[in-house]
Amino acid sequence: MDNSTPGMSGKLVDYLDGKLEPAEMQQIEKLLETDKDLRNELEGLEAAREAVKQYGLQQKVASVHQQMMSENKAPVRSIASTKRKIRYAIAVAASILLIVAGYFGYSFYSLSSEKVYTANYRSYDLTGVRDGNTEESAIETAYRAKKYTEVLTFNFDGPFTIKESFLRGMAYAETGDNSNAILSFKKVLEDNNTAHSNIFRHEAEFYLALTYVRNKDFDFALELFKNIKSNPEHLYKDRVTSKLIRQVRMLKWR
Amino acid sequence: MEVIKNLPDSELLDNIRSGRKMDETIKAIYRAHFESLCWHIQNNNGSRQDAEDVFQEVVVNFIDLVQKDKFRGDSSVKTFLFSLNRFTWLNELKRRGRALAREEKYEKGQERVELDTSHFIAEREGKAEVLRLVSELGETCRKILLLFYYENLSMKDILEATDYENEQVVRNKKYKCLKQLEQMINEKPFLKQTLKNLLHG
Repeated sequence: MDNSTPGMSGKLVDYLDGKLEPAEMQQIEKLLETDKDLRNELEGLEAAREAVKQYGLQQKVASVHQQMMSENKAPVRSIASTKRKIRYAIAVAASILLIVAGYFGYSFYSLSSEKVYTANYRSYDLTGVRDGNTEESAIETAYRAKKYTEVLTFNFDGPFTIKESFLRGMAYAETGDNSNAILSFKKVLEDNNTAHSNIFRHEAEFYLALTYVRNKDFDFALELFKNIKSNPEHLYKDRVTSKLIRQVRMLKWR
Repeated sequence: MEVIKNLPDSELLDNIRSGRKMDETIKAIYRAHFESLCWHIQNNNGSRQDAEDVFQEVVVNFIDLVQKDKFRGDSSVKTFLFSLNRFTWLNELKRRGRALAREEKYEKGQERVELDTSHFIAEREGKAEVLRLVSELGETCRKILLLFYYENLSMKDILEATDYENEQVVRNKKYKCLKQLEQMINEKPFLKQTLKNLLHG
């Protein structure tokens, strides 16, 4: 049976497209079982349909591919890049903040009154210091020789000159006796007030403030340091740094 | 337009099988898998361009397999795409004739995914030839055949998209175009075989 007619080809295409009625479909299927040429023609049509589908799919994906690639490369990239930069900036800022917080945290918890005292204390040197008296007292001699215990044994009950009171205060400070050091420095200030003088006043104020720190009297220490720092004429104003005041404040908060 | 970022596998497969929302679905595949698979190729002796080309081919093959019900769903879409990507890239490396130690190591070193995807990969040259052949059809023929067989539009819809007088004229034209393509294919038996393989695996 020769089925290679345009009419049969049309039927075969309809069969391929699923457009035939069930009865016609069965008729074609029956023919396909016996007609090799018809089977070949159907295979050719199926291959053509498959080629179109492959082409369509490839075109579709290629089109989306182009869109996605330009989406990745153009504005989205720049937004992503901006976002990344912001993220890095935040990360850097957070890191710096963490380091600063860590530094201050460490400083805060590792700080002690003894450390602040030691970092700022320097033994008082009498070299070249004269109060007008030509004769040097035994206290002064002992102090100059750094014999601090001896300084404190001379003329124990007094009276003392302002200079001697200051040196005794320094000797107490050197030997770690905070209470007596404070009393001696205060005596210097009181005697100066009474005499309307300023002998060893600046020295006494500074070392009294430092001794207050070591004695953990931070409020007294802060008041004195602030006074020293705000007085441009004060001999110890440069020794009272912002860092020192900040550290005393931190000690007070703890 | 709605931007689909993460489509569940089931929804993604349903869309592909039905041919609905194809653009959004393909975009979802790109958004979810492109960068990781790209990275994989770039870390195995490939360039960015290689990775892009391979991924495009992988997506075509994946959609084709799903639409022909050859993706059984034994693994996740991600795992399956990974496998396809790997095989496609290995095939490309072999084609380039530089199956060096690094590639061999890459092939052997990979954890074996229990998927036999190698037979899914059609002969690339044959497939490229098929695409060339269709592009050689006249523009009108190509358009009508694509609208009917790829976009699944009815004759009525195709009539609206073309300048023909009525549906019968479109139907006749479509018939002639299909027969023309069939003859072109018949002239190249190896292409017919490639297409038969694509159809029946």
